[in-house]
Amino acid sequence: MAELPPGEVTRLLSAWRHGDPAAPDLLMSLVYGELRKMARRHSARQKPGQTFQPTALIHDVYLRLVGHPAKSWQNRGHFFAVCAKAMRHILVDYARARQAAKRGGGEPRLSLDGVTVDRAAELIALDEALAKLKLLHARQCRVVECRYFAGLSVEETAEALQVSPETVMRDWKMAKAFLHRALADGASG
Amino acid sequence: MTPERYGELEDLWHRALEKPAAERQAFVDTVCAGDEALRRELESLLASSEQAEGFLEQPPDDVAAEMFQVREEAEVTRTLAHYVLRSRLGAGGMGEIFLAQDIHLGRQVALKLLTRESASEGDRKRRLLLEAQAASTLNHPNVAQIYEIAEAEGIEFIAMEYVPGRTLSAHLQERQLRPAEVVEIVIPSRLQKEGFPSLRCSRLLRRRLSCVTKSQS
Repeated sequence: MAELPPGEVTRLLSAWRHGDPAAPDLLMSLVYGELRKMARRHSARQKPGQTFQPTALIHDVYLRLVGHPAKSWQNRGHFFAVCAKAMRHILVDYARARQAAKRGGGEPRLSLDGVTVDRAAELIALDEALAKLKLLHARQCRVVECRYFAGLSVEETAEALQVSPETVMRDWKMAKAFLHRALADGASG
Repeated sequence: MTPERYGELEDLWHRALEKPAAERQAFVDTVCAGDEALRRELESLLASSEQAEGFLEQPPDDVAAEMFQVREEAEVTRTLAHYVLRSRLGAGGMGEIFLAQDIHLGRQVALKLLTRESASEGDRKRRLLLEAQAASTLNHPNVAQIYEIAEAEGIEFIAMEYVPGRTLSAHLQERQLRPAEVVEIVIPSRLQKEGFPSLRCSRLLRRRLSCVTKSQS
């Protein structure tokens, strides 16, 4: 990815707040590329056995693309919401690729711990259930993106979606029940 | 289900959960009276709220970690004999050099490939082999160790020790070096004092130096 012009993300975030319909998609593609780039750097720095943390990654990407954390909390919130969505797409795309490789009889990868095949199926099922939830209750879907895919806390999620922490907790609780049921139905049916 | 219906369900679901467990069923019976579909939805969602307690509480960090690890590995997927080519380190007069993983021994190596085009030129091929043979007679910390010379898929290659760091030409691009400095990089004075192990080796070094001098002018 080419280097971003300085302030581009801040400009897009503010365009979004002022109702520019193209801003979220543009931001999304910038964030997607940047997250992947940073993630590679993160994993290269990481010692074996250390846990990968999307939240730490997102904070780093924010600092890189936007600047000081205290600069604008409104921007930060919007940005985190975009990151959460990007993380969902990145992870689910990966899970689908894994599944396709498995079905296509592709070579088994070296040095994998075997976690992924089942986890990939789980993620894909979750993504499909989330798509249904989005049609019924878009905010609950976004809460799940923030809490689960980006690992954001209740407070950070509230900031990202500009609602109260209580609302986040209520949405989170019901979304989990809805998704758990959808996945259980899918598994039995 | 429609969003409106889901909204109705949301309200009832939260209200039901606020009730003590003993009163919950009575509450459901009252609010769903005459609407069996609503009752089924509400009851099953209430049941799954208990099972969903720890559900999704752990972000998919393991998948993310593995994904980025795999991506890293997948950037170059080509294999040659028992080597997996990871990334291209550069190209020289005789072919390309790749960072590769030796699957058998699990170590990183630098793989110098003689490209098909250049392999047709007998002289280049001979020089590649000559260089490998010369270097393989040396065992010195300043000379990359040669692991093997082999051929696979019609490609001749040398597997050698991978030494991370900058190349001489990167140094030269940065600033003009005095000839003495170039000599110091190619043949450190320590090695000069020790003397050269063989005539072959000194020929090799002379050739290297002449390349450097040409590229600089």
